[in-house]
Amino acid sequence: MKWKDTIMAADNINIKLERRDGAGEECHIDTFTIPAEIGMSIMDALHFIQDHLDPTLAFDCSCRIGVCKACAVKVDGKVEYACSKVVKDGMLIAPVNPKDVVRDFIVRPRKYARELSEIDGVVPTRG
Amino acid sequence: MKFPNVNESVRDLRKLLTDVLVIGSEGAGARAALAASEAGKKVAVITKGRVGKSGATQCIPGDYAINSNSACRLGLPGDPDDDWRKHYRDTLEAGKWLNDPLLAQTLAENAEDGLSFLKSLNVEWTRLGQYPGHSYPRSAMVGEVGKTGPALLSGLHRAMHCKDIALIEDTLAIELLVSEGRVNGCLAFFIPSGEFFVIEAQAVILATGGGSRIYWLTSGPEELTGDGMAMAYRAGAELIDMEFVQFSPFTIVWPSGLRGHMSFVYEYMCVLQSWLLNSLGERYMERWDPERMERSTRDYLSIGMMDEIISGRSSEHGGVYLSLSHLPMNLIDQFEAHHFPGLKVGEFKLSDFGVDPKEKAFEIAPGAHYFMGGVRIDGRGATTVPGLFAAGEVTGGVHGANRISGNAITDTQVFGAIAGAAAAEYCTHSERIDINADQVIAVINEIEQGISRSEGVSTFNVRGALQQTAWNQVGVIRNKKGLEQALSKIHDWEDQVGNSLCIRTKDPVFNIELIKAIELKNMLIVLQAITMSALSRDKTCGAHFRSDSNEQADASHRYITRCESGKMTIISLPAPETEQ
Repeated sequence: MKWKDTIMAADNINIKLERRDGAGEECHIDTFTIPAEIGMSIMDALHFIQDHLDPTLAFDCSCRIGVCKACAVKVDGKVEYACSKVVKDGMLIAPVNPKDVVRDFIVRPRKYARELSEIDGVVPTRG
Repeated sequence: MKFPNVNESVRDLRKLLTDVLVIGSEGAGARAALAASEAGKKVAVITKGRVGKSGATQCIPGDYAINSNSACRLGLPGDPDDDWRKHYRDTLEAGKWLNDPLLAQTLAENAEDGLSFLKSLNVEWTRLGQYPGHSYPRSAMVGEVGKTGPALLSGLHRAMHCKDIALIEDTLAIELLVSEGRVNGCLAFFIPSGEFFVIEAQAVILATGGGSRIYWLTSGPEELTGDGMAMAYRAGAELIDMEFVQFSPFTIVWPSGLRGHMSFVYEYMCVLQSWLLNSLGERYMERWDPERMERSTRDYLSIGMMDEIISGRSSEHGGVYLSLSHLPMNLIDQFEAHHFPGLKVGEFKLSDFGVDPKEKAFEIAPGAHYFMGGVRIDGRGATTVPGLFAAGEVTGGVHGANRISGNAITDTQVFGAIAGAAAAEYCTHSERIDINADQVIAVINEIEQGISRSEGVSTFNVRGALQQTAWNQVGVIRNKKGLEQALSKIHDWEDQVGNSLCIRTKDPVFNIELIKAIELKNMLIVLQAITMSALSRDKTCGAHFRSDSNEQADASHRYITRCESGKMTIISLPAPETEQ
């Protein structure tokens, strides 16, 4: 097994994000230019954008070490975990399941993304 | 766009009525919910993340601590010579005898029950290891490294789904509601729609975890922003031992995509006998532990690293170099082939990250790993405010000044079960009281101000600065001057956050910036509590290292943090009288 030569010069790269403002909304592609670091993950890039360029960007992030599987995204059409994949110039990042997008990269199954009205009232008991 | 119910009267807010509310859904929260439900109470669990995809328990690479004799009884290859008293003693030894003796005893004594409960949920314990600090093999594990946390959680979550427990994900607890000196619910925020709602409960259990994310470098997950500690403090509860934060010296700083990773560094450092070098190329551990050098204990390794970092001899990205250059390349190849076949660690392919450690050194530094301090509880998991219970890393007192391996997981299970049962019992004997509507309105109004401002201080900027200050001045190495500087910055940030925070994202749906702003307020309280406790403890003790004191370690007192007349106050208590 060889170590790949993926070292990038510390200069700017562009990444494209397929975003949606809410459930069922049309998607739009935003391109962001970010300063790349060696071995920078997609998660690092998303955090950089959120921290410095666009605070409205929404994505899931928990463990950052490849355990929680919360950060799945589609990278150039392939499902990857944002924390475990290195960012590259020209990458297109899209949500894993566009139909169930709540916002940007936040995806929740339909039955899950329910109205709050369902939890109005008393804790239900089964049976 | 407008938030659906800002400015609406409290009467119009949606309400959920339950007996017991558990905040946090993972190790301690799930266990507490099961115990309260078992006692016949209606239970609701809220989490700001998602069940099984958030919190610290999932990240645990390691183990559940149980005395070797009990482990034997449960079918693991333990040493029958051990017993819970010896486990208790090791726990106190590591904690510098500052542990609350009752809590430490409860932990050691009930570890067997905790593990057999998990076995009854079909969590299969397969291995028993021995880690430093334990005088016997006590580290129960499930399968290979990294599987214990997820396996234990899937058992607990399966059981939770079989019960009548209302599970509400993506829901942030903003504030505990207090009426007549009792906690009787919480103001919550449903993140997918951006709605505030009220949960009325007779008892509330905090299981929100620690606050490692107040530090720039941490192995903890994104959610650990100390929310439970801060909410408990604001509700009038006492915090204890806040100065004791455990750091792990095996945390990656660079390459940046691996930042926060711990698991494989240990192998490179301890199996492969790598060297730690500063920017001058010196093996600086010579100054701290000339005999053991890089094989020294975690606290010396952390202090040594941090000393290089703050003295201006850090590696390029702010850590120290983990160098393999003294080793032949074929030996490193053999090591990698054996420990990381395919150079893979879980989902991570190390070779993708552009740094071959044979050519360039990884950079590592001490990352925040565990909070020994937290909400003060008694032997039933009750805090100092009636109606409020707590379990797991959010609490303080179990571990004293330092924690040994495995006790964190055991803590979640033992005290989760105890707090769940005690909260259920409390419901039986208490009357329901009306929620404090004024409090709800005040909290919503404050958040609304941040949303309505068109310009002001950015959450992300303050958060970043806070994390740096915490790490540099309230981290591994502390001194009076640095702590006082940190405290003055904290006060400035509090003013800025209180008076001019601007949430630039106005859309209510999944407004991450708003969540971060609410977390920031909690992080400020937690950092202030750590800083003030660290100032009070002017000598080194356990995980708390004061570089400005040459005197012997001092474990004569413990420090309590509480709110008095609106101000954070530190009160000292004599150390517990434990038979040594």
